Amino acid sequence: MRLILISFISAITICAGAIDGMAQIERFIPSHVRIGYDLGGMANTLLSDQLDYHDFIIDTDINKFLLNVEYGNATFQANDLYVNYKSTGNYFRLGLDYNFMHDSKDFNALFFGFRYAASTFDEEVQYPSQNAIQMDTRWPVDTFNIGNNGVNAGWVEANLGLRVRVWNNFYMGMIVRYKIKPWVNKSSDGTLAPFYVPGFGKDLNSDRWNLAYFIAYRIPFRKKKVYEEDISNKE
Amino acid sequence: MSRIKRPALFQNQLLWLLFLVIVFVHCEVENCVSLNTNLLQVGFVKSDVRFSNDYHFNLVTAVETDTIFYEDAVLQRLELPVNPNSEETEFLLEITRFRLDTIPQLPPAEDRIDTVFIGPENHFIKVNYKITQKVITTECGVDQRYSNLTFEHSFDSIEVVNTDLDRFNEVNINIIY
Repeated sequence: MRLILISFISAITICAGAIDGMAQIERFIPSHVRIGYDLGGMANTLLSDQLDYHDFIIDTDINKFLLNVEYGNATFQANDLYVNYKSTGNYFRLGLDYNFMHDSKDFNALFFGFRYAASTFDEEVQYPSQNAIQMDTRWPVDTFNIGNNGVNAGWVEANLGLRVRVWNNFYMGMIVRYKIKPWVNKSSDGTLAPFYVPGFGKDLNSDRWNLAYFIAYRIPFRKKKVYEEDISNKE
Repeated sequence: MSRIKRPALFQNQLLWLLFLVIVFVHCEVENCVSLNTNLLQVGFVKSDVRFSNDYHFNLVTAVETDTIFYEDAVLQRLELPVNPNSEETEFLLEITRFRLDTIPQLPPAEDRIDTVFIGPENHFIKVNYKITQKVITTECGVDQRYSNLTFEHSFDSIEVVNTDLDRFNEVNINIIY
């Protein structure tokens, strides 16, 4: 009888340990995927005749962190008095954020993290030689058609963001991005210095601030109970 | 399992407020100033003390253009615009030099100083360079930079001072002539 009792207690202890281990592992199993779209892209398409971009954001939770993957494409085109310019390309971002609201039952998020971003793009410029800045115009006018193909650029971003449930599984949010000056690698031997990097923007010699507003839809995989346990423990 | 009250900070209403009050101001300062130019600064250094500091440029032109850059000008230096459409420009110069010669006279007369005109002589300066372009902003336009200048010439000697063209160069080459 005593042996049975000891075996029973041991079995319970082992099971409890296993359950606790499972709970620990479960924290790292994502509970959802959230797919978002940057509303700035839609606004620019409607309002701007220069910039047209579409940026998709996918995130999933890993314990207190959010794993983010973003993909976008952009075309920046300007037909101005002195120059016609066009840059078109794709970009992605990959990064991990710490979610300060990891115990939110609505899966809201206030997060900070870093992204590695990379872009591949082509650009072309047309301008009459006499329109170049500080040009002595005593030569006959000729039109330059120059460009770069297959340019690669990479940069790192610090992201601070907020994501709030608005209805059902729909979320809205924003991200303030601080983009660190990119490195640019021209594969071609062109004479044009890259000007606009899709996903980063203009002015490649300095860091940039940027703001993204987005809407997202959350697709849950499973119920996430670990947070409720966390809350109980805090109590 | 008991449920707890969540901290007020994390209430959705407050989050929405935070979401709405953040105003993003984006300033982009555009500066259309460029340090680059397509003007080649050519100085002249006399090869003999008897020569005048001034040179008479009868005609200064370039291959591939009808433009006359200088005509009947008495100067000590030239500003020559290189061709922005090509990575090579050949300038043609027709120059007359002044030399002050001392003509000995029989005593008691004093020696006489005469100005002697040498020329006109025809010369060329051929410049090769690399052009690179940078869009400053689409409103400002493109900044062209001319660098790695190399020279061929018909003069006895030249001194290359600066192989990049920029607005603050006093001189790119000195011609010893």
